[in-house]
Amino acid sequence: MSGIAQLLDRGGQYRAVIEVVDVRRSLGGKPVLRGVGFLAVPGLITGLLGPNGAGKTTTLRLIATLLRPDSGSVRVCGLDTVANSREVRRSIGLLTEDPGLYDRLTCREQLVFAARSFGLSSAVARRRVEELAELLSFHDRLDSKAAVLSKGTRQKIALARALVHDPPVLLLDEPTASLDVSAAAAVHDLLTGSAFAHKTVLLSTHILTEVQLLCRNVVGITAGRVVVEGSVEDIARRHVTGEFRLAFLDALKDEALAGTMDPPSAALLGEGAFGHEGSA
Amino acid sequence: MTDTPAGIATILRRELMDIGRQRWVRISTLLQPLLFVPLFFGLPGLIAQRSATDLSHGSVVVAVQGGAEPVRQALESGGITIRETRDAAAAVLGRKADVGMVVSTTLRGKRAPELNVEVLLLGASGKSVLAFFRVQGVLNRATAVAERRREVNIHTTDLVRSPAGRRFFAASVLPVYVWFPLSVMLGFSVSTLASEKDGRTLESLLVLPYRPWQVIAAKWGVSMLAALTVAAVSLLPFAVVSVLDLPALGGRLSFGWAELSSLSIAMFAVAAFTVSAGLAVGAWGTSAREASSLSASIYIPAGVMSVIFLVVPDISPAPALLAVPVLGPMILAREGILGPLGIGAILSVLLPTIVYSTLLVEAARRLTSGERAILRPQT
Repeated sequence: MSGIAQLLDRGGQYRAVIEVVDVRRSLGGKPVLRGVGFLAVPGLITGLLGPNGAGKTTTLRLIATLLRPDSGSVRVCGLDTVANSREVRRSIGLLTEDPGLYDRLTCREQLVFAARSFGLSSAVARRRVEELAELLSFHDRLDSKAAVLSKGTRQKIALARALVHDPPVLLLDEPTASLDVSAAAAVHDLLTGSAFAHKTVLLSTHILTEVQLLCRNVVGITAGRVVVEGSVEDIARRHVTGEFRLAFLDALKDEALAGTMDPPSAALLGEGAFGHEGSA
Repeated sequence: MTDTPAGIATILRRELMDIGRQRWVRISTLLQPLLFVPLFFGLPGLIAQRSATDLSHGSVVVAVQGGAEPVRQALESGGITIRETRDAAAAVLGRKADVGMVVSTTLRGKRAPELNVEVLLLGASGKSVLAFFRVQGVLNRATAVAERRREVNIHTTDLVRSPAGRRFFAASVLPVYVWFPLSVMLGFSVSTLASEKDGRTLESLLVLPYRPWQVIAAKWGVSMLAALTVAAVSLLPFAVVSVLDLPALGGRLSFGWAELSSLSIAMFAVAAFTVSAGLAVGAWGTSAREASSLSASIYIPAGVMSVIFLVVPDISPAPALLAVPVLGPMILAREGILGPLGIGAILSVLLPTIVYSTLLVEAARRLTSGERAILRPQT
């Protein structure tokens, strides 16, 4: 039984907000997801961990209604992402790996636009933007154009945009992949802070240490398939050394031996297998 | 809010802020038409001047009718060769010539011969455009010679001011005038979607709770605003030249408000097509570069065709301009292929409507399909 399933089994306290059930999806005729399924509950950060090309971003896009599953189903807050796509979008905030900011607009303009798009009045939107600027410490850059911002600040603005309508669900796609160590640490602090305490957070990453640091539950994915799921501690116990990294790589090797993917390369199995915290 | 047209206004406002800060948009919207206009007005005049001494072009038939000998002598002494004289008027009317110029003279007492000019415009090939300016050049030259020698009074009406000339310009020259500035806007409307892909902003836009038609409508709206600005900037000098009766196009323009209104409507229609096509192409390409290549694959051949029809005799411009749904039916109607002008006018409305709708629906479909073309491949 997976970690989440155990939590749900206790009843009452947890309720699955993201439900991904046996989802398959091909892109350009090539299968990218081959029966992915997992749950995510509020108040926890669920890590979607896997190497590049595993299908993490495609999974997030399916949850964010940007893609439709070929088969299987995705539900967010009890709503089907295909049948209720607009309602689902109101309840999620998506942080993409690339911040995707309009370079010629100021931070304030971008955030007010996002807030207004979610139906906030002009006054409320401006107040909310000020709050987020304080929370994420970029108040001094509010009136700067995005083009002149550092990567770290751009990522903060993108995170603020994902939070601007205070959604119950946050989808974070490699939020620290392009950040330096200090900027990544700032994002980590934020994710473990009170602002995220009651949110359902799905964190897609290939950085093992990030998962160990932040995630209560881990969904290991490779070659479009979930290969391991559970808490960091549960997964670590599966290896004789008790190391999470080695246990996770074992799961990848098992998948490779099962013939659904190429075996992990020597480089992949080395120290830099999934990169380090704060590395690209 | 996002359920209502106000949602479109929110996107539109953001789009306007974004494009208003792009230097190339400002240049192409305001400066490009202003640079194009002098070229448009000046080049034909140069052609007319340079061509004035060469009337050997096969289908420029100049017929001089009755009492024309003094005039013929005057023109020839000015270096102008007249290929056909006297009874050729009937031949002009009876053959499929591009431009026919019937010149007649009258002798009034002791005064020098008075020359009256009537221009017949037949057909619509590119050759007739050049011939038109050559004829204008001939008249200009003849007038100059006559004034110097004082042997003949030549009252030449600028061709573009004659009824036939006005029809000719409205049907053949003005569409080109409309099309060139607005072709710039194709690239712009392509970029409204394609640049979202390049800037990786499309995902964050599509995850907002808008309906696809609202996104498309806002982008169409902002592109149309820019296109119509180009149209207005292009029309302004044209209107000034026409209203103030300034020399242009090798002669003088004399268009009234009715013609200018028609031209404005034509510009709106062409802008609508351009913007719709640009959005569809922008949705199709995976990047701005690819979208630009796609649009170039449409418009470069059309441009080449346009050049060919201008240079090569006896080739109709219709094939090149048929690529434009608004102009195609107009040309076919004028050529008589579609029957009465009324049917052509109806088709001019119906065909573009079908094409615009198809293009916009396709853009919206691709915007929401989640196919490779919309979201960069990334797993």
